[in-house]
Amino acid sequence: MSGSTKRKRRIKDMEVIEDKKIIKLLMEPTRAKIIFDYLVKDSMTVKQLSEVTGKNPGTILHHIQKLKEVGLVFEERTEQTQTGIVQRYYRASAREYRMGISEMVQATGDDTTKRLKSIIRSLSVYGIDIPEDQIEMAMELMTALINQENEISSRNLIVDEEGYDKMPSSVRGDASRIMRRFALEEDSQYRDLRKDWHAFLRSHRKGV
Amino acid sequence: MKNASFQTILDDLKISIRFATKNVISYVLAIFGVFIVTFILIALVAALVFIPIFLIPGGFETFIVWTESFNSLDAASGFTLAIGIFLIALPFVAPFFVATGALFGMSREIVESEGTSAEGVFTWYRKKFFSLAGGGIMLFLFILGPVLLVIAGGVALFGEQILNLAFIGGGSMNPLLSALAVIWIVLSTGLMTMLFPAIIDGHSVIAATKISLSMSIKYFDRVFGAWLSYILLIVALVSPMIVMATPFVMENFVPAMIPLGIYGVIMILFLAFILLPALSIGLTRVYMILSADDEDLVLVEEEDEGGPSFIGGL
Repeated sequence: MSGSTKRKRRIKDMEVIEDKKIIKLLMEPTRAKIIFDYLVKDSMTVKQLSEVTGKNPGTILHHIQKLKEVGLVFEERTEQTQTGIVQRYYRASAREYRMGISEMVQATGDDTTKRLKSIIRSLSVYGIDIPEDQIEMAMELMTALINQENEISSRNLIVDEEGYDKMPSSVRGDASRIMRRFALEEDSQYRDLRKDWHAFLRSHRKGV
Repeated sequence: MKNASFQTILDDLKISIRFATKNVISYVLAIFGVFIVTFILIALVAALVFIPIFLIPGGFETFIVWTESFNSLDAASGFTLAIGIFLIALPFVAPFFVATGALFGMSREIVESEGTSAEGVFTWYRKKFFSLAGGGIMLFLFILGPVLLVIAGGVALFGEQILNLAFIGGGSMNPLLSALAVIWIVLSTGLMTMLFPAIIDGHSVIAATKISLSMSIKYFDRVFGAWLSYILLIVALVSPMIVMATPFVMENFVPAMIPLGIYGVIMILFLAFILLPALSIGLTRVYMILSADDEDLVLVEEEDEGGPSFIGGL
């Protein structure tokens, strides 16, 4: 797959999905796979997506239309092949997506809460045992930290957008991660939340 | 790429017929399936419309008396009746348009990815039912609405005798009006050729209508070139039947009736299962080419540098 020099729509570095309707839309596994596994990385045609997902082209086209309707996917370019096929290349509107935790809880109810609890309990394999009566507290701390991280990471930090578009994708990705990390460190609220979370983890570390 | 030349139109025609032939089994199954569903739906609509008539006091006899009362209507009342029939016809034609529109969905799959399946038509039928029905009603109104308005204007300006001028002996239509009607139907349907492809592309009925009108005006040569090529092909296929069906030929060339009958069967099958799908493929293809941004169609290859990241995720 190749990139196009004529990029008319700027792809965001990171986007936090907070719309409950979109979150519900992404609960469908094929749709989630299309966007999170493939279209965040490169532009692809319905035929290519059909081949990699093993679904028929019609199904892929319906999913693409749904994703297009909510603005997660756009048409990057159109090409004609020698056989007469007119293929459209679709691309995700961002290179990385994160779901707003509280919105996910509202959209999916118990599922997200269960998943968060499961993440916290799974820390025991790293030697961090959190008792059941403190799981709610752990969830609150972790959610607050993730929300703040999402808020800062989704800010547009780029000052030279044309220069940014000219960068190779691997350089762009590394530069983006350096700057997002820097932006997080600069934020005092984030630092405080992280400090609280780490203190909580430390206090439950085995042997402490 | 977007403008038409004879070669482009010929290529559009060849490619669409090739794709239709390649997917003929899917189309045959889909056309049978979708039209069975359509007839069931029309039967349901008919039941909803006509059962209440039989339930009114007096039942069927009242209905007969009511229909017979139309005989005493004058021309102007006849016009009112025409509008009534026009409005009653809408719910009946809508399912047909949904079926046709669903075939455009299949064609979209072919144009975009070279493949489709017969069951795909039902997914489009179900998912785009209301948009396609709305599109069908819009198409119906766009083609016949102005005709009714012209008749209404004629009746208002010149009186009801204008309607008598429209028809000549034996109920035939005035030749001048026939020619105008053909021109209008070709022109109005041509302007709306991009309606179903745009609905399938995810646009609302209103937006799709606007897109179809602006596209067919802006790229008149390409849209009408494609549209007229299919119409001419249909006319060329049907014309032997029309010529052979004239009383002179039928009386003097009786043995020719057998090959004509065979030709008729083959032609109908070709029209229904190859040319109709080819038409939807061709129009969808033209829509996709014309709706692409001009810049995007000129692809400048630039191989992106891939490779592992040095900086870990956050």
